[in-house]
Amino acid sequence: MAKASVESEKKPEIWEDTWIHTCCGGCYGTCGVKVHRVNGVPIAIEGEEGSTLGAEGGLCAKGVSQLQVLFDPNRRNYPMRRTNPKKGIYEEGNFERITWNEAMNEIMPRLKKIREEDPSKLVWMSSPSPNAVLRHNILMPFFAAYGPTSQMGGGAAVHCGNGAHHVTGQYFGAWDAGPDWKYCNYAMFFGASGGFGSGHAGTMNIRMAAEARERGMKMVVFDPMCNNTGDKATEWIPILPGTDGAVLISMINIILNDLDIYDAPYIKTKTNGPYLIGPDLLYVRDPETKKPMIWDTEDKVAKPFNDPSIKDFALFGDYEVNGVKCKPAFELIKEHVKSYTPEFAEEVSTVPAKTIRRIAKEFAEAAQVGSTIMIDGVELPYRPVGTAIFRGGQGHTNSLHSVYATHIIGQILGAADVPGATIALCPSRCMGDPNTGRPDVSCFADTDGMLVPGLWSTLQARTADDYVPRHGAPKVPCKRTGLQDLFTQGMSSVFHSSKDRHELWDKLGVIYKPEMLLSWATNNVHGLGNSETVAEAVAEIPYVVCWELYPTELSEGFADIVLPGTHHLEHTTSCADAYDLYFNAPIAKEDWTIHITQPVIEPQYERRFIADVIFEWAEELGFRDEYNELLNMRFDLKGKYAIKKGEKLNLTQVSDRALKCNHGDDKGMDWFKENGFIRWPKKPDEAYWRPFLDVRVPIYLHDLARWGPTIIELAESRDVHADWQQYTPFVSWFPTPVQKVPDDEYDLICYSYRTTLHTGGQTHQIPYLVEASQMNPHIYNIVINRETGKAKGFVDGDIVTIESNYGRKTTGPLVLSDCVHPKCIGIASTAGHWVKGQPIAYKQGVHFNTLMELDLEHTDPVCLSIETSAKVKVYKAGGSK
Amino acid sequence: MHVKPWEWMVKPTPQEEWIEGKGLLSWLSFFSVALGAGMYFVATLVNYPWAMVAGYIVCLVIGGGTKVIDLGQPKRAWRMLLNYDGEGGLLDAMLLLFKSPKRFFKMFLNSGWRTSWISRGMYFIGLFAIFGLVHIILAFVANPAATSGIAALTSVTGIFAIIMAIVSVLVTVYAGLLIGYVRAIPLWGSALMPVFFIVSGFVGGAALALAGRINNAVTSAVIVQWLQVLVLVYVGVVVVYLWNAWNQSGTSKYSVRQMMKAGGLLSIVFYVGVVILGILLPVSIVIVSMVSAAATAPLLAVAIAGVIIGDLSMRFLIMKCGVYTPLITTSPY
Amino acid sequence: MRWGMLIDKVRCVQCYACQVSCKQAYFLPPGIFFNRVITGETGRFPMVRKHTYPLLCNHCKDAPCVDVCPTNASYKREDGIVLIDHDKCVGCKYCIMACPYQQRTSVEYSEQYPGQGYNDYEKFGMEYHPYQEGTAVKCNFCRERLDEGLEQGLVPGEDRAATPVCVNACPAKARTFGDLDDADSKVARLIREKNAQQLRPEFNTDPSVYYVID
Repeated sequence: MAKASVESEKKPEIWEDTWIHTCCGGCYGTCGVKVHRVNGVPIAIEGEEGSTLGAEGGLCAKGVSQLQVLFDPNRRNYPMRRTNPKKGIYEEGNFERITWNEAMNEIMPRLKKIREEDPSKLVWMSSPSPNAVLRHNILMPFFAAYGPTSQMGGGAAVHCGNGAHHVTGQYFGAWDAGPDWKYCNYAMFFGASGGFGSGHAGTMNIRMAAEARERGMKMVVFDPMCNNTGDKATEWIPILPGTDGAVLISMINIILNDLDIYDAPYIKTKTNGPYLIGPDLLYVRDPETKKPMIWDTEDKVAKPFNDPSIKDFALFGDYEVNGVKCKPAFELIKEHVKSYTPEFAEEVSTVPAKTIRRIAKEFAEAAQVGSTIMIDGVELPYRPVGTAIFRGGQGHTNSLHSVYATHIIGQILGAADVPGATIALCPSRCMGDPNTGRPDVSCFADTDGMLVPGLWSTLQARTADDYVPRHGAPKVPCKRTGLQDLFTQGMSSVFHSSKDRHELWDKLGVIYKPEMLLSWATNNVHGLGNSETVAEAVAEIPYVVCWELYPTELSEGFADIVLPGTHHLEHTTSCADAYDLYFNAPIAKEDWTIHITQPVIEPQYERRFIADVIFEWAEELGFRDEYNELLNMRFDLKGKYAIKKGEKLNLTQVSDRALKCNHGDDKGMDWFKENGFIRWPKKPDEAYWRPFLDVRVPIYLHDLARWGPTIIELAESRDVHADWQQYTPFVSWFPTPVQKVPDDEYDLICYSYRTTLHTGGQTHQIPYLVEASQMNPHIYNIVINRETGKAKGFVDGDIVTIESNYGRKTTGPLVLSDCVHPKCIGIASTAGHWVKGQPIAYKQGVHFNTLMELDLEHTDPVCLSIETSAKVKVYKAGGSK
Repeated sequence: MHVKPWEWMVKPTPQEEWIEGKGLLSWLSFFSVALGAGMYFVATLVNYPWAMVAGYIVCLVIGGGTKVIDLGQPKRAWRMLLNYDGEGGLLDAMLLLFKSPKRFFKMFLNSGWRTSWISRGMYFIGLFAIFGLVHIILAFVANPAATSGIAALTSVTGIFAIIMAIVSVLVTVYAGLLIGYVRAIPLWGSALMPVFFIVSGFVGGAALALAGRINNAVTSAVIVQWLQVLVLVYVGVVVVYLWNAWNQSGTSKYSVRQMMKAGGLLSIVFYVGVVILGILLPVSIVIVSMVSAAATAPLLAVAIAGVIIGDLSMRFLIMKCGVYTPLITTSPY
Repeated sequence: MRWGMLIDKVRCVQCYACQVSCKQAYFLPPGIFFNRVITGETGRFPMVRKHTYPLLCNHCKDAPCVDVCPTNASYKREDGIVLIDHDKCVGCKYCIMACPYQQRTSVEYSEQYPGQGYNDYEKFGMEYHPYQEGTAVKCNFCRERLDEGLEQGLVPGEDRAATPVCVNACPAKARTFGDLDDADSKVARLIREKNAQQLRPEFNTDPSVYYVID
């Protein structure tokens, strides 16, 4: 070691001192960052000052600590082949090093053979973080060109997004939604941590939420735990997991029926509230145009909803149209929610009825229905109330309805995509770089007038005849292992790995003969749900290839080949094409900024960038041109920028074209590498687009009425049963399987919660983050309510076992806290690794996921979210830590 | 006592630098320095040169040695005496005497002496080392037959005896002032800390210094008298100290409670080391000696051993149970 | 001129950016911190309150650590920053004891990945920013950045390059840095406006770090 003192000026000779612009990949927030490199060694990461996709130079700990991943000696550095013939959850691969050629000589013949025989024998899975761009822009087109493959998945989506993204897509045209921090005065959070942890546009939200707090925004947080969000709340309201919907609907009841507050003009023109509903619970349609009908109260006649002669819309009344007795949907909704009294909500959620009444009143009054505000010279509706629900709130079998309830409460007040209200967290509308007008994307209306997202495609536009969901009309037999051909309202599915998968496949006609699994940065054995269940599913696949940065429980237990991937600080991608905007972008009126990623260090050893290898595979499998076409679509490459037949570009070159296509010939990858990002002002009608676009949202859940009977009939005909009552067009609350378990033996509800320090499982291998985690009582310990714990005879440090009513167990050290609901016991998510190849993560924290049952009973029968809580008992395992 | 990482400054957090791992040497150092100086002081009073030697060794070699070993950068120990800003080490500092005498003397004047009890302590110990060596030689050579050093006060030996008496007191008390300065740790930041150090240093020192003359029929009666007084004084000081800590603040009360809590190493050290061996046993022997004349050498030896073990234990507990007040009070402590 | 900092607990979201970015900037070994985030709770369910305190050296005007240092290694600069001359530090740990805020540590190297040697980043740090084991270390308000920035005419607290790393890193903008003696500086104004307080006033150390508690 050199003898120079810290205070002395003697430093080693510096021959390089540079900053490199790129994006963070510590979570899926992709904040803009810059990396300080000295003498070839990246030594510091900071937020990108001057970019709105971030915190004006700030950056959370996850982002800052990413450098450690570059130097982790436990990284996968070479292709490896398994030598341990045994596979299983706790096995180790005993991998031997091989060359890339050897690895390809094993993988490529298999890929070719499967493609020729039946592409569905190939199973693949990937993770949305870091860098969602890779999955959607590189992998999905590849597999689309390859053929109809099968999919597996990790925790992402089935835990966090099936309900949330579905509804925010329908209601906001966006991947996620949250309060407009700058103008919101009153926000309600339900199991969400946007602005207080990671999440879409992570540090930007943190920055803006902090300003909102300082400004005096009131924030009410419903959560079983006073966690990151509750900590900063004006009011933390403890609530049982999975009961948010009951509280929300009772608030809707109070607002509509007790207080009689709602934004009638908004409901009439921006929702399907005025649409007439017949006894079959479906729209009454115009026989000629097939359009849903409304009742014009002035002309006293029914008209198609988009008839230009409409003078006013009825929201109440009994009508008869073409012999069909019907009522406006809004009145039906208003009537329906009456049964959700605060007393009922209190009974199921433990939130006092008095509190529910008070909060509902405060929220409705704070909405200032009818008010306006001037922004940049444009007069806009002003509704300074917002709501948010994400992982915790929507991670239940009543997911879809809970999320609907969270956003219907805003919709009835006109509080959507206007200043102060709930707005698209990832953009719904972009009118493009002023120099080029690109990317020009916007949500739009389908034939029923309903909003369809323009930036991402969970939900397709309806055809002239009928609404056709993403995967087409429900049908059996199913081809997809995830059964989304039947459960068409679902996005990601768990049925590829559930414990009842074979039974369901047999009944629904799925033919599944997997031969190979390709996994990108997905650790489903640890991250999806009960590990034994997932392991069984993986074990059915004879040949497994894992592409990853570190050894994982999946690869060590099951991989035949492991390929060393590059970290986001080791490769180049473009975050420039439109489909990345859907995941992270500056919100509200924050200027648009578009970033790229570039390497801060060349990949060491034999690590390779996924995109390079995928492009090679496309070439070798003979569909490079077809793949190029799909890339053209994905990147929206037009004219001279489109990839031509026969062209063999790498991703950097494709990205270069995408950037030039969107921002001008002078702004390709070189320009972005030099400057880091491009920035231009956002217009009010981009940020607050709602008044400017003629789109409506379904507060009456017509899709469920339309497709529910078909799905139910098809399923029942195959002896498949689920909680079909959820296919109701009326937003409702349904108890989860957890709530149905009596309290006698299993008296606590175990749930997991997010911490700011971790996203996905990989952050537990980062020493800085583990050190910080150890300094927080709620990250590596199981947390129980203090009085509940004392009554059970526990003290801080006891090693306890948590056992679910299905016999699933997990063990760890306990702390007692007043920050937890008395009937709940919490475990921080993503922890509890047992793979020895991650020595820093090894045995840190407690593994929650194994408590989650994976089956149809524990799945939302509409959107396919899974139940992320469990009914448990807890007892001492012996010993104290 | 060790707190979990997430309890740092959230629960009373113990200091660890001066008691955990290598920090045990600090505990031994503070003990040995005071004990040795106390021994030397008493040995000087009773003109017991061998005890002076023993005290000298205990203070400098054991006490000073353990402290130097415990330092993070032991080779720089001289810097505790000299504030040298230039390049190089001790030799270069010393050469300043010839290059720039003004700077040379300023090194002493501007040293940590001005504000730091460690620096002052080093000066005291330095004086102890230098004058002590001379005094010991004089004590052996000059007046070996006298039974009391007081009689030799008018001689050179006597002058050194006075100097060393003062220096011994300073050496004995400085660690108490050093620790007592730390208000951040309520158990330590008390005016009673230097009192404790002086009394325990002298009690322990006296006990050890006189131990060598237990079998001497003439002096054992004197020893008994000394011990009767010293032990009672020591017990009084310990009790007052703990009582004061109990009432001074919530944190210091917590510290004392930790000592007394049933179970664990601390309460063993407290009840066995401090209470039984350090207080009850010597007090019993003192009472026996007061009531009857049966204060035999073995009994006295036991009393002395008890006092030493008790003192060692008490200092261990002071180091171990010295906690900082938490910043966030999670629950009453 | 007296450099000081304001930490706004209302804005802080406990993301540990300050702690980790500081560790990174100073190549701190495992277990050594210049910035720490602690969290606790008071009150009883459901009236519980969580408290998060990002902590660092308070650079006290009346610093006990400077008083107790036997070698004058710890000293206070004219601009208020309390620094350590590591060539003089003898490692007695008295300053570590004496600090009422427990902000000092005795530095020792250990591997970030135990048993796997020091990686390139750690080795770079040992050369670029070496520590003398056994000496006391603590936050120095990024003294090097401040001094270099001032030389270049930058304003600490406004210009990032001259501002402490923890201040730059905070995504919630919970930290403000500047001259406490300048009544018009942002930090001085905010301290007054928000009624910010110092920690542990009973020790009379007059810290340079203020906190907005509520």
